[in-house]
Amino acid sequence: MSNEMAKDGNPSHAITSLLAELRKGNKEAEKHLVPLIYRELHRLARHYMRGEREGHTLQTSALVNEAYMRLAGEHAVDWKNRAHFFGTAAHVMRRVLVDHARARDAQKRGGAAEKISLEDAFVYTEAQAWQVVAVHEALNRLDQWDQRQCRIVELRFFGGLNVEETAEVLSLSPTTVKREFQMAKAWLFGELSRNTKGAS
Amino acid sequence: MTPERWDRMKEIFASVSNLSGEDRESALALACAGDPELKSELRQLLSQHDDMGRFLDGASASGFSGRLATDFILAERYRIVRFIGAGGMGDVYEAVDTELKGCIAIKIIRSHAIWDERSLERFRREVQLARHVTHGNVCRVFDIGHHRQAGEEIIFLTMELVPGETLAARMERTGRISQQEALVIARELCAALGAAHQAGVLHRDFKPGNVMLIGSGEKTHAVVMDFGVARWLGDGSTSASMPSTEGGIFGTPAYMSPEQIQGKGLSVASDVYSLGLVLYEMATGTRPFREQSLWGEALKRLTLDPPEPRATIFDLDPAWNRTIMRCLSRDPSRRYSSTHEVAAALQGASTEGGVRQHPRIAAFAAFVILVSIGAIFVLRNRIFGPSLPAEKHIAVLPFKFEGGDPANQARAYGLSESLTEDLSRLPGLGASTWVVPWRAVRDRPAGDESHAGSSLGANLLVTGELELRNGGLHLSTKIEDAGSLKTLRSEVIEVPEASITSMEDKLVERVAAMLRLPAPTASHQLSQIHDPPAPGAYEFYQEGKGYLQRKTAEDNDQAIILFERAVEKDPKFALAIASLAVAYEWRYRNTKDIQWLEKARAVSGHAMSLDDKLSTAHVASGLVLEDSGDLQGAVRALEEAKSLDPANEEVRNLLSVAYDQAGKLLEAETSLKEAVNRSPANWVCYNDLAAFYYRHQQYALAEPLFRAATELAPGNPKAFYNLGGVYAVQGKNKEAEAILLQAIAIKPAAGAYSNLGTVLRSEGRYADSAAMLEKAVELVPNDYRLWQNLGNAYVLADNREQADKAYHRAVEEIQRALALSPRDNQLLEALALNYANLRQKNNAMLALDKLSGSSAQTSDVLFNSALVYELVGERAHALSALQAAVRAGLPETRIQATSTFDRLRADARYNSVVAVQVRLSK
Repeated sequence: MSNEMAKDGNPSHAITSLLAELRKGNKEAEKHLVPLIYRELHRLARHYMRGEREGHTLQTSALVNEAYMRLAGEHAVDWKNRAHFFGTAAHVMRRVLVDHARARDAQKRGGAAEKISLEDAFVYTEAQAWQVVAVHEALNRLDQWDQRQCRIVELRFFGGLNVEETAEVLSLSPTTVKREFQMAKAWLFGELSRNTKGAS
Repeated sequence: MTPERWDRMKEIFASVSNLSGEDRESALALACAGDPELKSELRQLLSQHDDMGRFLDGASASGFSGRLATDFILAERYRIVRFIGAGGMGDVYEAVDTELKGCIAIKIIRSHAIWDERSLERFRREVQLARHVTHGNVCRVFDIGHHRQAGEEIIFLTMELVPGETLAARMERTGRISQQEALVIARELCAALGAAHQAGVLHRDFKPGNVMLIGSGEKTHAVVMDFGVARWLGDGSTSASMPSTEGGIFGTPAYMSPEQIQGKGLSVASDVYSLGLVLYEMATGTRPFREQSLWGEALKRLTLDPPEPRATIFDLDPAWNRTIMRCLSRDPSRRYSSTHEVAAALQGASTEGGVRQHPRIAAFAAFVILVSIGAIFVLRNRIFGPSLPAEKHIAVLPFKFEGGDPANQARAYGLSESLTEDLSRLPGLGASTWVVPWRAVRDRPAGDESHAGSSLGANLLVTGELELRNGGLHLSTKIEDAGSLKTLRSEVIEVPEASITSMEDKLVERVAAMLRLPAPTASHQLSQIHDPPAPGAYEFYQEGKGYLQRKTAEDNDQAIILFERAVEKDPKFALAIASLAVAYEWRYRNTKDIQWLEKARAVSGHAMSLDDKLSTAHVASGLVLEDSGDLQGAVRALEEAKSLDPANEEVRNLLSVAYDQAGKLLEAETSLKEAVNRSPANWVCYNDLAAFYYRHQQYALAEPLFRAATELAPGNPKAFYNLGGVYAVQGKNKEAEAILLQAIAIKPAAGAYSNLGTVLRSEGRYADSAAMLEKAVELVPNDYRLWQNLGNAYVLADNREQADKAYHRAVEEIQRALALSPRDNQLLEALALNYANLRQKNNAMLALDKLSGSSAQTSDVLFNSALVYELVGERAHALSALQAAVRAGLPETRIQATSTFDRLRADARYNSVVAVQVRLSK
């Protein structure tokens, strides 16, 4: 069903329906959403990289936001839809950010030649690049015993969602999100500090 | 980890993480009873929780966040030095401006919420306005910067780096401020706000966190930051939920006026209200209605009149109490209409309330400098005295020595030179604050005291009078306004005999403080001495330095004697040894006697072996290499010297010359351009770059730079006659004449008369030309070039007898100079030329034969040789010399403009030899 909608000529209809499915708890919808988001992000990134929008403030979350505005069109006003969109995009962003951080690392050690890609549109300091990979790897461990906490960090850290948006995506209360995030952060902080000490 | 155990930990973590100390410990013990491992794991997690600060907070990986690393280059220009502090929306860094040099502060503005095009435009407008506020008590805003990286953008603000502590931090640390100090601070705050208001800028977020204090007690200076732009910068106490829209609420409610809380329009009176709250807090240590919630506090101010500060501080000056209460009127129209009025009202306080009590001497006792009783009154004067200009162009004039003893005069001279160097090494110098290089001060015409400012392009002068008292030094130093020569600051520095070497350190420290410049760091010259030199050695060194590089060869010889004595006293005194090597080098250049070059080589090597981190040692070695023909080696040595002492103007200049000589014209040009960029208002830098272009016949490039120099130093005749000279060589006679007359009107100078004479000559006004040159030789009778020009003028005016007299005099002067430098090509060819003018062919040819080395092949030397050949009737030689000159870059206009060559140009061979070369060279 959702497959047909995705093929519908108007992407904003497709997106809105997929998001509505997501809100109903239909996990299948996410599978169709991811490629749409990925494609749109790619298109936007290329657009930016060509410098056509020189001077415009752009951050990664702004990029995702723009992708959302384009895909959802007039239906973009519903913040809950937006939250679900971002929640899905968080997956994509995590993947992209981690790949990019690793690619950069490889490049520094004399790896692959530079090519303009979606990853180049994501900018962070060296410290963050390291952090991105470290958080990603620690999250893989946390995922083994607490998937919800893991998802909260993913949404907050990789997706740039605030507490309320995270709560909406996961159908939790904001208080729970806050509490879980506190503990996950404390645990990650320990993982990452030990990681640094080991590395240095 | 199992999910079950993790859930258990989660439960306990949630219940104890908000507790602290014993409460937490006992709760933990209770919850983990019987499971010590769980307890230790939780304890670990809790301690991480306490330590993690804002880890992963406020910033997702997808936004630009995180701290900029040291040495990160922002916008290809600003190198991050260190992180200073964090604000809610952006961090503050200290950075080096690699373009203009000097340290600045950078505030990152990260709040992406406000950056739509409209608010960016508004922000720009406000920064533009804020830039106009240039007051000693206002932190200057320089520019908005953009850093772009792959589509993402950081917007930041560059501003003056103000070292110190905020008034907020200060009150946090020490509580209320003493009345004396509060008065000093209050006056400066009023002055700062007043200056901004006059420029049409409201602060909008005035609070103790935006006031930087430098120093303490009576010597406190207050600098107000973030004028008009505070709301864009945000800070920790600003909640994200406060919109920053126009007319909306932003900033810290704790210091907001009632109208600001209500979102009404703001005026000067709003800043006056905030000022009143700051005064209230300085006087009492607290704010009215202070309570947990800043908003609660602000709302009370909206509806209630605050309790009088006197209610808490019973002995508060009544005038302060009155002034504060009027500032805090809820109705803006009932407040003071300007901060100047506030200052005046507080000043009333100081006379009535006896705030001016005995000045504190204790603070000074800690210094080695003893501030004499006389100076304390001056010191007070200093604080309440007239304010310094925001842009400081500082010239240190040679200090005088009371009593006229030449040895001590040299010491005074050396001390003023050292001060110049030390001041130019201070951090934070840049486009708006710079020090006139000693070179310019040294080369300035004598008796120029009364308009030193305009001839040096400075607005502040540092003067001093040194005296010997009981074996110690007593220096009374002043900061004067260069225009009016009014004393702005003055201080007496005394150093007892035992610690005489500390004079230089103390001097730069005090002068920097008087000028309100950042305190010196460890990088200045004296710190190059690792161990204190043996007694007496330093005095000889300092005295020698006073003689080194003064105008005459005798001065340099004197410097050698003194450095040798310093080294005798302390054979390990590397700085004196290196300086000795430099002095030997100058003697070699004066005499061209090879033994001095060898001495310089040996001694510089010795200095280097003692301390290879001494820039002076590398300078000496660079000069030795240069004279040994190793021009690339010279460049390397001087580059090393520059890297060790980057702010030293003399070193930079020597390096530029070395580049030029080594044929590295691009580097020479770059280095000279750098100097211009570093000090865009310093005429000397323009003059140097212009002179470089002039030397390489790039007159069109030289001209605007010389013109800029005249605009920057309108009282300096040198700048004017250089401009006149460059007009003249381009045949722009009218312009040249006008500018040279202007130069003479400023101050009669031989160079100006001579150039004017040349211009008049080329216009055919030979008698006038001769008259100008007569004036020139009258002013400087020992410059052979002037006599030679005078002779030429007489020839053209058909006064052969006078002409020969002038040429004879020129020959005399040249021979006098050659006695000291027998191998100087320039002198030799001038000798040949004057002999030729006197029709003494043999002598002329003899002199030409002595020309040697690579500089014999420069276009100027070749051109003059051609002149000589032509004058003595050796046409064939003249033609080939001219051909070579053209090949070396001589423009044909020079030949066409020289009447001596008129007949040569009519010669058929001219076309086949010279004119062909001209076309080839093009």
